[in-house]
Order: sequence, then structure tokens, then C-alpha cells
Amino acid sequence: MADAMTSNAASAPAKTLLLPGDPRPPDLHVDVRTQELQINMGPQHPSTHGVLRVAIWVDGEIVTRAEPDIGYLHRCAEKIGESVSCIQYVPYTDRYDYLAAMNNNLGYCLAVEKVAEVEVPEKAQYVRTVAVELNRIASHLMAVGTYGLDLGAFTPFFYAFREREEILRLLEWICGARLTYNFIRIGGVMRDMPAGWAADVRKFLDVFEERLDEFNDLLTHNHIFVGRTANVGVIPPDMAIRYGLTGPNLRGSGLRYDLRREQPYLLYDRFQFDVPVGTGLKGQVGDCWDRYWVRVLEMRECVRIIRQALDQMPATGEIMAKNVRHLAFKSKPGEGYFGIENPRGELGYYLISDGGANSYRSRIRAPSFCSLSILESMLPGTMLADAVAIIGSIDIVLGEVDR
Amino acid sequence: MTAAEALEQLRKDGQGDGVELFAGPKDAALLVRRERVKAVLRHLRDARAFGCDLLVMVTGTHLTEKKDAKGVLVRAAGFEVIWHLRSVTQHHLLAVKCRLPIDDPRVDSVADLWPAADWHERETWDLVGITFTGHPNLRRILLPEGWEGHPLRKDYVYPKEFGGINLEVDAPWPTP
Repeated sequence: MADAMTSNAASAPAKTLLLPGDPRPPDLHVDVRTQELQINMGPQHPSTHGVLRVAIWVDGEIVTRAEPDIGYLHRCAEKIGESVSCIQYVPYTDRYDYLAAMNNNLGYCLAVEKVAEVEVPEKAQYVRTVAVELNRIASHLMAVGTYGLDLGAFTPFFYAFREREEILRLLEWICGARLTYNFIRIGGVMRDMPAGWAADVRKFLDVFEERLDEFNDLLTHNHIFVGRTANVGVIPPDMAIRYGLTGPNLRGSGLRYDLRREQPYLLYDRFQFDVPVGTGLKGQVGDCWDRYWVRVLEMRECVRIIRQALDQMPATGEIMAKNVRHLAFKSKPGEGYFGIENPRGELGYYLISDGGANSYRSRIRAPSFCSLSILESMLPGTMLADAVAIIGSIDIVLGEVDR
Repeated sequence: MTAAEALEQLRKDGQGDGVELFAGPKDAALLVRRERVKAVLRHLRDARAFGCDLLVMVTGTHLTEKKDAKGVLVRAAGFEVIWHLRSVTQHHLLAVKCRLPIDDPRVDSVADLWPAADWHERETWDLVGITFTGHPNLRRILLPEGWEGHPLRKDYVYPKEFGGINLEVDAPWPTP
């Protein structure tokens, strides 16, 4: 651009300085040329939610090509799954999607229980449900809080974290850890709920519903936030399916698809809850705002599920299956796939067992991995500033992408 | 729809050639011959009776030779690729399998049928070493460029160094 200006100045000697609003002389030729530029977003970038590098080619402000580069956090998850026993592997699953570690524990345990034919007692299933849904709220709070942060809204982040802190306190109380729980074990749960815990959860839920309204006032209907997210990054439903998007990303595109409904695991067929979908309230169906809004609505459904689970839960009961001998656990030979509804989509574990203590093969179907692959075709044509809004809206956890 | 029902429907549609039922102790799957993989997967996606529009995952396994106590071969050495498909409209999950010979692990890519397969196939090539012919961009995805070998193979030897970084550990790499 600077070249163009100087060459213009050289060819036509400047007579007078042109002021804004002056009529443009007919011989003045404005020639603004842009050239393609490659820039690196990440791996150390606050808006990539971890160590994700996206190589972006821009022409002016428009993205022409984008190439996500992953693998910075690869920790040989599947190799470890073959090298340690099934029982030993449970704590590793915490580390993949570290924002929803309970859900990861659950996915793996359900897959092992399927292959090894373990019956889980009813009480344990209720405790699992409460823990998993609490964790889902915490995960969604992180997602919507940091999403606001990505778009320049600093305050809502603290409101989201205040609630998340309360959930982490409750989860720490039940299992002793704030992030990596290792609470759900093969055959049941680590321990029963401590006395007074259920009452505290109920107390939290009552407060949380009000606070969610407060959060909506702060961020959801905020004019600037809507301006940044509505009609941005629209994913039509057929495209979402072709790219294997699941969870809130798929539902944001208007498809009512939730594995808790499709093939109820645990005791989800006993609870009443809605599956919120994107409706294009502020813009088009499947835009960034819809995906965000689905997460906010889902938190309310989690509250409903937890209340029902606490109501229906038997006062006493076994919390661990009888036929699981933890020191000498051996799975039956066979193979199986089990998919559960993680906060980020379908988390699946595909296990092949040889009949030994270790899995012969343990494959993780990570929802973020699949969601991230859509970036390559979504970013071209958008403004560079919207790239951040789009990456934030599909809510990835890099620990799970790279495994 | 179970795998047995799917096989029946495939035969009705005239696509049953080269497809058998794999009945494992837990999950059943369609076992498809290598040449027929792409045609069968395309049919599962497009035919109204199946409607398997969501590709859940693609992965591969290295199978080592296994003999029982009497020395009878129960599992031949080879590779296995498995595709899990879901139907969003008809609410079922189908698994499709293909066995590949140990010395020639290659199978048709389905990245043009489902863009979702792109990264899954890259990962399977990266970690297991199965070549997907026709894939537009088959290169490493999780491991760095220039890495040697495919770690999820059972005969994988952990490298001693990479790019001048010493990778030797005191304890031997555990063999499963």
C-alpha cells in the first residue's frame, strides 16, 4: 500500500493536500493492493484454549486458508492404554478432557463394563449421574466464560468461575480432587456421598438457577456479544453431520440429537429433561451464538437432572459391583464400542480385549478432535477477527484433541 | 438395526457381495472384503434403509498371531480397520470391519464420502500405519514430521533419539 501511494505521488506531482470531504480530482487513482500473508495463531495464544496452532493465510482482513496443526499435547494415550491394566488406566482418562474428567472416567468405565460384563448397582449409577452432571455444568461454565473472554468481555468470566468454584468444591468434597477426579471406577464409584453433600448440592442448585439469569443479563443478550457472534460461523446441519460434529455443536445447528436420549446409558431414561437446540434466535440457525446458547440452556437441564437423581436415589445401597476384584481384574475377551454424551459431544471408547488385564487396543473417539477438523473449511472467507469467535464457539479441549 | 439385520438388507439391495457377519462376543460388525469397502460404505450412507450419515470414527488395529494352548491358530497376523457409523435420523450404530494382510495394509479412503474421515484416517496412518489410498493429504497429524515408525504396532521399537533429543529412558518400554 505504501508503494502504491509513493508511486502515485511520484507520477503525479502533489499540488495541494487533499482533505477529507474534498471532491476527489478525476485523475486521482487510488490503488490499494493487498497481498496474501501467512500468520501463525498459536501455539501460545490465549484464544486457542491450549496449545493449538492454526496457520492462517489472510488477504487483507479476510481469511483465505486455514490449517490447524495439532499434536503439541500428544501423550501416547492409546499406547498407554495397551501398556497398563484397565484398572490402572482410569486415572489417565482424567487427563484427556480435563475440564470434564468425570465424563471421561464414565466413558471408559462403561466401555470396560460392557466388554467385561459388569453390572453396576443402582445407587452407584445415581451417584455417577449426579457427579457427571455437576461436572457438565462446570465444563459448560468454563466454555461460556472463556468464550466471553475471547471476545473481550472480561467480567462474565469471573461470574462463571464463581459458580464453577462452588462445583469444584463439591466435587473435591466427594472425591478429594478438583480436576482429575478418578472417582468413577470400573464397577461403581470410589465411595458413597458424604453426609450433608446432597443437601449442599441442592443448596447450590437453587442459587445457581438465579445466577444463570444474572449471567444471561451480563453476556448472553449483551449487544456487543450478540454482534460478535450472531450470523458468524454458521454451520448448516448437513455440514455438521458430514464433519462428524456431535454434542452442543451439532445441536446448535438445530438437530435434536443427544446420546442420553438416543441410547440411554446410566439411568437417563428415568429422568425428564429437554434437549435444547439452536433456533437462530439472534441470527441464523447454527451460528456461534446458537452454539453458545445451547450450552447455557443445557446447564438448566443439568440442574433438572441432578434434582431428579437426588430425589430418586435410594438412601442406602451398594456402590461397587460384587464381581469386580480390583487387584486381579481381567476383562473377558471381546470388543466393544461405547459412546456417551460428553459436554463436548460423543466421547467413545473402543476396546479390544484379549482376556488379559490390559486392553489389546483402546481407542478414544474424542469429540474435540472431530469438531476441530471443521475449521479447515469453515474459516476461509471469514474475517480474521471472527476466527477467534469461531474457534471459541466449537469449544475444544486440546488435551483431548491430541491425547 | 443390528449388524445381522444390516447384512440382510444389504443382500436385499444387491450389495451383499463380499460382506460377512463378524459376530464378536459383544459387538457385531459387518466384515467387508477390501475391494468392496468403499462401495459398501457409500451404500450405507446413501441408501434410505440405512441412512448412516454420521461417521463416528475410523481406526485400525495391529493383530498379532495368536495360538491357543494346543497350538491351533486362533488369530492370524494382520491389520484390521473399523468404521463406526451412526444414523442421526434412524438412531442406530453400525460397525464395518475390514481385514488387511500384514505385508500390504492399504484400503480405500472414504474422505470424499465424509470429510470427517480425513483426520481419522491421517491419525490411523500416523499411529498404526495403514495407508488409505485416495486420501488427499495423508501425512502425520499427532506425531512430528519425520518421525519413524507407527507406535501402535505391536512390534514398535521406541526410538533412542529424535532430532538430536535423547529419548532413552532407564526402564525398558513396557510391552503389552
